Amino acid sequence: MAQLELFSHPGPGVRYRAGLCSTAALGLLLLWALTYLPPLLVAYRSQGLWLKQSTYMEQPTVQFQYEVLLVAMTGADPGSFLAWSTFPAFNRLQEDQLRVPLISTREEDKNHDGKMDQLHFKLELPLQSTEQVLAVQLILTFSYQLHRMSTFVMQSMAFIQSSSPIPGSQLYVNGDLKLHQRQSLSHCGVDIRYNVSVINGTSPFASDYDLTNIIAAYQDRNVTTVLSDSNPVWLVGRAADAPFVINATIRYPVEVILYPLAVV
Amino acid sequence: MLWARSGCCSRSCYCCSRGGGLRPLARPRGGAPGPPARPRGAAPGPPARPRGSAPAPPARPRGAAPGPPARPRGSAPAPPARPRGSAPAPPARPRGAAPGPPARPRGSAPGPPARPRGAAPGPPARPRGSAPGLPARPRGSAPGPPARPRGAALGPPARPRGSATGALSPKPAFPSHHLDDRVGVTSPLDLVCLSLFLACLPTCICNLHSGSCDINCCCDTDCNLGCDLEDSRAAFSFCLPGTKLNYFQQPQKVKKSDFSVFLAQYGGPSFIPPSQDLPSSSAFYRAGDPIQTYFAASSVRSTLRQPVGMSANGFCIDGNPAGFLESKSTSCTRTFTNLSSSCTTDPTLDAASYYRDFTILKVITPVTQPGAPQMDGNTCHNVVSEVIYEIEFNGTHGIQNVSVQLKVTSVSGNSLQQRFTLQFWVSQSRTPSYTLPRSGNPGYIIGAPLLSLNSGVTILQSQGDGICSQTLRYKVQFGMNLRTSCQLSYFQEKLYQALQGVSSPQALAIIGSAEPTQTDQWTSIIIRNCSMQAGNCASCCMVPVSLKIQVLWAEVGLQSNPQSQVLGARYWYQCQSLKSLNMSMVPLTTVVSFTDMTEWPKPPRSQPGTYWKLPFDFFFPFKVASNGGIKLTPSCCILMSHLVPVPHLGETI
Repeated sequence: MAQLELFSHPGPGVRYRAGLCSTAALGLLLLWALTYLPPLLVAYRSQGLWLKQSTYMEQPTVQFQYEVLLVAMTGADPGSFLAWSTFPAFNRLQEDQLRVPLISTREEDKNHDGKMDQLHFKLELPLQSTEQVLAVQLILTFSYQLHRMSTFVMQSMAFIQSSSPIPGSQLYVNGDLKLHQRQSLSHCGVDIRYNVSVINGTSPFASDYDLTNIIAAYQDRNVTTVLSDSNPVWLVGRAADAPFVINATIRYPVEVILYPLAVV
Repeated sequence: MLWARSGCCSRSCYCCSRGGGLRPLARPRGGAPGPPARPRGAAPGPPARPRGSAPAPPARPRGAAPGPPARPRGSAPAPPARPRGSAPAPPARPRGAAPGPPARPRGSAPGPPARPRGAAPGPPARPRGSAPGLPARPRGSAPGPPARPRGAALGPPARPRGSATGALSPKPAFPSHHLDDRVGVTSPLDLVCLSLFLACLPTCICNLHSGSCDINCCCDTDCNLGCDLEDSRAAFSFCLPGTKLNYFQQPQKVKKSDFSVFLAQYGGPSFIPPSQDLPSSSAFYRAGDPIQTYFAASSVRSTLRQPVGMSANGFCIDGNPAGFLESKSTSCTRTFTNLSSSCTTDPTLDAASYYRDFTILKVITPVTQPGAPQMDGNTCHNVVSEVIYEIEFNGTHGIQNVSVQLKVTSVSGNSLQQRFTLQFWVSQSRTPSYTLPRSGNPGYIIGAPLLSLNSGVTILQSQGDGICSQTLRYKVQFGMNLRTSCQLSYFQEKLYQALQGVSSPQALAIIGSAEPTQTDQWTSIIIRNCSMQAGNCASCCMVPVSLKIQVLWAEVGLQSNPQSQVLGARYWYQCQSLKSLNMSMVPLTTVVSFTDMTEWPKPPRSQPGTYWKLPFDFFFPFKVASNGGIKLTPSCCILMSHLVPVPHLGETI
C-alpha cells in the first residue's frame, strides 16, 4: 500500500509514514488546503488579484505644426468677424473677412533633452480704429508622439476660445497641453489611428473648416489633447491703431499614460 | 486614567452630577453618591470623590485643599475650599497626580523625579497647581520664591509663565489661615482670574438663561426639580456639551515692555501692514531708486514719471516712478472723451510737460522742441507719442546730463498709444559714431533683433485694413518664427523692395556683438529671386509674391555656456506669373523660419549608452540610490526589481 511520508527529522531521525487513506493523510491535505486557499480567497475578494491596467509617465514629443485657424468676432452682427488660417482654401472662402495677422512663434527645449517643452505663440491681428474684438476662437495643431511603450502618433489640437462684452486688446493664455485618454493605449506596437489632420486643409469646402465640425470630429477620437487653461486673461483698452494680440504659452508636460498589462 | 463609572444612574439623576460644582451637596458626575463610586481620575482611595463635585459643604473653588481623603480632579472633600488643583493628601489621586514622589502631576514639583509644569518646591509630588504644605493653590501658581515656569527646573526665582500666587478661588471660600500661609498673594493676575471667577470655574456653559431651564442643557440647575423627580430633563432628546473640567494655561502677564515681544512671538499675518522703513535719502542714487525731480517754480520735489500700462485695460498709470539705472521701455493707452478739449488742455499730450519747468539734477535738454498741441478740424496735431529720456550718469556722482527725445503724432480717434523709454549711459562712454546695439555678447540672445550689415532685418507689416504699411516694418527677432501677409498693388521692382525693405540686407551678423568692420563676423545672405525660377516660361512676367527668410543657427561653445550663432541665411522669393494673378492687389507673404542645427555632445563615457537591450528602467533602483533620491529599503528594492520589469517584458521579448 502506498505510503505517505508525513514528517521526517533531518539527519538520522525518525520518519513518520501513513497510508494514503489514513486520517493523517487527510489532515495533511486539509492543512495544505488551509495554507493556500484562504490567502487566495482573501486576495481575490480584495479585487486586486489580477492587475489589469497600469500607468507610466512619459513626456510626449510634441511639435507645433504651424497650422493656425483664427476667427475673431468684431461685433454682434453675424457678418462682423475676421478670419484667417494657414490654409489657402479657407482664406479664399473668407473674401472680405480675411485679415492676415502677424504670427511669431518659438518652441523651446528648456532642459535640452531633445523634446520641446513649451511653445511661445504670439498673434497680432491688425485692426482698423473703428474695429473691436469681442471674441476669438483659435485652433493650433500639434504633432503628438509617445514612444516609451507603444509608439503612438497623432495629430492633435489646442483650442483657445475667449470672449467678453468689453472689446479686448489682448488675450493672454498660459496652459498645459494635456493628454485626454478615453481608452488605454496599447503596451506595444504602433498606433497611428489618429495620425490624421485635425483640419483637412486640402478641402475646398467650407464645411471642413466649420468649427463645430472640426471639434465634433476631434472629440470622436478616444485619445485627444486638451489645452488646460482655466484662467485666460482678457485685457481691454486697445489704442486706436494697435493690433489685437493673442499671447499664448503652451507647455508640453509629462503625462501619466494608462495602458493594459499584457500577459507574456 | 479613566475609571469605570460605576453605578451610573438614570438620566433623572444626571442633574445631580453635571454642573453641580457650585452647589453644595452635589453628587458625583455620573456617579452614585455612595462610597464605591469612582470619579474619573480618582484613585480608589477610601471615600471616592466625584469629579467636579464635592460631597462636603460649600463651594469648591478650584485649587486644592489638603484634606486627607481621595481627591477627584479639582475637588476635595474637605470642608475648606478647594481651589482647583489638589492637595497632597496621600491617598488622593487627582487627575494626573499621584501622592507619592514618583508621581508626575501636571503642575510641578521641585523634587528630582517629578517635574510637572508649573512648579512648587514642596517635597512630595504635587498635583497640578498645588503646593506642598499650603492648602490652597491657584492653578499654575507656586507660593514660594523658587517658582518655576512650566516645565522648568528649579532655579532662581523666575517668573513662572502664567503663574500667580493669588488664589483663583473666591476669597470667602478660603479659611483665613490658608490665606495667611500663602506667599505673595497679591498679583494682578489674581484679580484677572477673580474677575473671571466664573470662567475659571467649572460652570454650565449651556446655561444661557439664568432662572429658567435651557432646553437640552442637562447641567442647567434650573431644570432640576429634585433628584428623584422626573423633571423637565426627561424630555430632552440629548445633552448639550456642558462643563468640561480642563483648563487652559494661565496666559502670561502683558506689560508695556513685553507687548511687542508677545506680539512677535504669537502674532501672525493680519491686516496691520508690516512696518516699512522709509527710503533713506541716500547721498547718491542707487540702482532702482526713483529719480528725483524739482519744480523750481513751485519748489516741489517729485519723482520722474514713466507712465506704464497696467494689465486689465492698459491705460496709462502716470504715477509710476522711473528707476535709476533701469533702462526700459513702457507703453500705455490714453483715451479721450473729448479730443478737442483734451488736445489743448491735457498735459500728457503736450511735449513741454515732459521736460519743461522741472530739473533732474541738471537741466533736461530736448533734442527737438515740438510745439504745443493744436486742434485742427477733427485732428489734434503735435501730440506726444513717444518720450525717450537719455540719462548720463557717473557712478556715485549721480546724473550728469539728461536729454529727452520727443516724437509727436496727430490723433483723430479717441485713443492714443504712448511709449516711454528711459535709457541710461555712463558718462563719456558713448561713442556717437557707432551706436549699433548688440543683440548679445557674443552669441545672439533669443528674442533680440537679428542684425544685418546696413540695417536690421525687417519684414512687411500689415495695416488695419490689410494693406502693407509704407512706414512700419516688423523687426525680425532671433529665434522667432514669423509669418505675415499684406496686400500691395504690383510693380515688380516695388514688390522686391517692399518685401526686403528699402535697403536690402546683404549680410547677417553671425554673432550678436558683430562689428561692421570685422568681415569674418558677417555671413552673406544667399538670395534666390524670380529670374532663377522662370523655367520654361521665359516671356512670363514673374512677380514675387512671397519671401521666405530662412536662417540656420546653432549653439556653439561650452555646453554650460552655449552661444547662439547664425550659420547661414537665405532669402528665397517665390514668384508667380503675372497672368495667374487676376487681382489688382498682390498679396505678399513673408515667412521667417529659424532652424536649429545644434549638435549636442555625446554624454561622457561613464554613463551607459542607450544601446542596451534591457527594459528602459532596469537600472532604476540603482539610479535612485546613487542619486541620493528616495531611500529604498531592502524590501522595497526587492519588490521593485521583481515587479517593475514584468510589464515591460513584452517590449523586449
